[in-house]
Amino acid sequence: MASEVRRLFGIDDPWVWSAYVLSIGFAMICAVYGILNWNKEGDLNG
Amino acid sequence: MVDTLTFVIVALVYVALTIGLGYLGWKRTASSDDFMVAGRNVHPVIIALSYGATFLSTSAIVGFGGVSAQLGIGTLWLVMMNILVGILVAFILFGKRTRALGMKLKAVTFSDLMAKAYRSRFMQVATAVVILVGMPLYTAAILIGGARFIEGTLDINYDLALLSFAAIVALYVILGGLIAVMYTDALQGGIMFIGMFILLAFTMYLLGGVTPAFEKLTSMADMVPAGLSSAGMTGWTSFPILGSPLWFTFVTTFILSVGIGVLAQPQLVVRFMTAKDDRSLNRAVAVGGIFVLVITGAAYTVGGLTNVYFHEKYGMIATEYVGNIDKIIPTFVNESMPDLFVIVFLLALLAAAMSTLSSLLHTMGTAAGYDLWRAIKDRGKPYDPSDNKNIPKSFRASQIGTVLMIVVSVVVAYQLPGDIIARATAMFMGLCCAAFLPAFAHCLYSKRPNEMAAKASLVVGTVTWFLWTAFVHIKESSARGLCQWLFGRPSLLDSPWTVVDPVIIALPMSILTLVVVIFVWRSKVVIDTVPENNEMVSMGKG
Repeated sequence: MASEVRRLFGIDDPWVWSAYVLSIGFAMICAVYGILNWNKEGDLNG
Repeated sequence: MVDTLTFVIVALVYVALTIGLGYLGWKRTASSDDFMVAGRNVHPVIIALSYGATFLSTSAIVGFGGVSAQLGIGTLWLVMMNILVGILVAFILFGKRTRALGMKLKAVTFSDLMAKAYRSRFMQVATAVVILVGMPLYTAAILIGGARFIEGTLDINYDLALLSFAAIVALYVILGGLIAVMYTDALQGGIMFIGMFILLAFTMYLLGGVTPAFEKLTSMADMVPAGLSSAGMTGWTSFPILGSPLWFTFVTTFILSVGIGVLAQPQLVVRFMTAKDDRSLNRAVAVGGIFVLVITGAAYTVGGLTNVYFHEKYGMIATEYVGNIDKIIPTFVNESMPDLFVIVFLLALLAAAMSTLSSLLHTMGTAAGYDLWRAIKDRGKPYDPSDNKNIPKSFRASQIGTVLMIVVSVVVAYQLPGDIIARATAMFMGLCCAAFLPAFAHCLYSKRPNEMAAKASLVVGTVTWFLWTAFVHIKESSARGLCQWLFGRPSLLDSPWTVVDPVIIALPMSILTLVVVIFVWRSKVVIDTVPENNEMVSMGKG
């Protein structure tokens, strides 16, 4: 059971599948950041 | 081999579109500001696609896809770094300040930005020289990647493929400047996105779905070649053994050097200076993150899975069947995909190569024709950051510089060995990181950027990087032969130092130098990094 939980998409090594999870996660953060700040002007524009 | 007539028709449409966009760029290029920073008024989607398409080239698709085929999909950590550092950190922490500072100082190139921020001609010349020495290596690697695929797919002579490829890109860069480069980048980025998405989906379909494909790859762990196994490789879906030579190469070269190196690449920094406002950069983040995920995620995943395909078809792993790792992805696509998709992928690859190549040519051209030319022209005079009268004259000089650098890059391309694409990319990014990153970050975040600290950091970072490359990092030190000739051994140090990437040593040295000199040498330059109402830079003696 423990090994089933640690396996994702047929990949056993958490060092590898966690890279997939983090990559997708950060891409989602990019999308959310862009959408939330779509019309927001920055402080550096005076 | 794809049907040549079909490909020629599709390629002609693509080339016509590229030339059309190049023409549009040429029509809209009325000033040097247009030629160098695209008039500072570029649409956010074009910024994102141009940044992504410039960032990710044949190096990412063919080079690192091949590395994944050889060493496994632990390279996905580089995808994570590309999104976290290459998009989130780059746009939010560096991009906005670069845009504001670039606009305030009226900087038109990366070297110009560094020079004006530090009021130092040395910074302009030194950054231009590092660009002109280091960038042809990267440019040559991209030329090789594009030409190899054209050669393999169309069965044409390699020399013809390389030269015609370089000529087409040079033409629209020279005529249309950065506007043409960014417009064509956006078209090429769109093609790359579609091509790589289809490649990933079709590969998964071919191998029976996501989980079965990875399960098959996991079960091939016992087929790892003995040489790689003794270096620490444990399989294609598992990370190398902690502390092994392969682990060091993976972590220091592929993940850290390339992952962090993106922050200080001159051809990418200029993209931030083309944005009209911060809103454009915020919107570009949304597009950029997804773009990078699809392009690199697909390339590295498919790279690893080519082992399953070649094993099922020929009973061999990818490197065994193909040989040169730079040819693994092209061979896989040519052998496994329907003709129509091969054409789409060929276009995606051409687009990837052309978009990066055009940006590198533009960066080298302006470094030679604007930064160096200006320094030579003004030699003997004190540096005046507000003197922009030479900018219009440098338009033609930049065009000549572009022609010169394409010739240099083609010559370098003929000197490089095989299996070089990923390595050359990592080397260039590492050099930029060690030489520029600390000084670049310092001028963005300090109100009192220290000129002496920036100079020392740039020199120490660059020299350390070159020394480590020539005398310690075994891949280069043994290949160049200088260390053997001078000291009678291939590397001055023993393992694990021989596999530690130069940037891991050179970047901390560069940072340390910057910090130490800041504390011992008080800056006399005060720069207000927060612009107000588009006024000119306010600089004074502190």
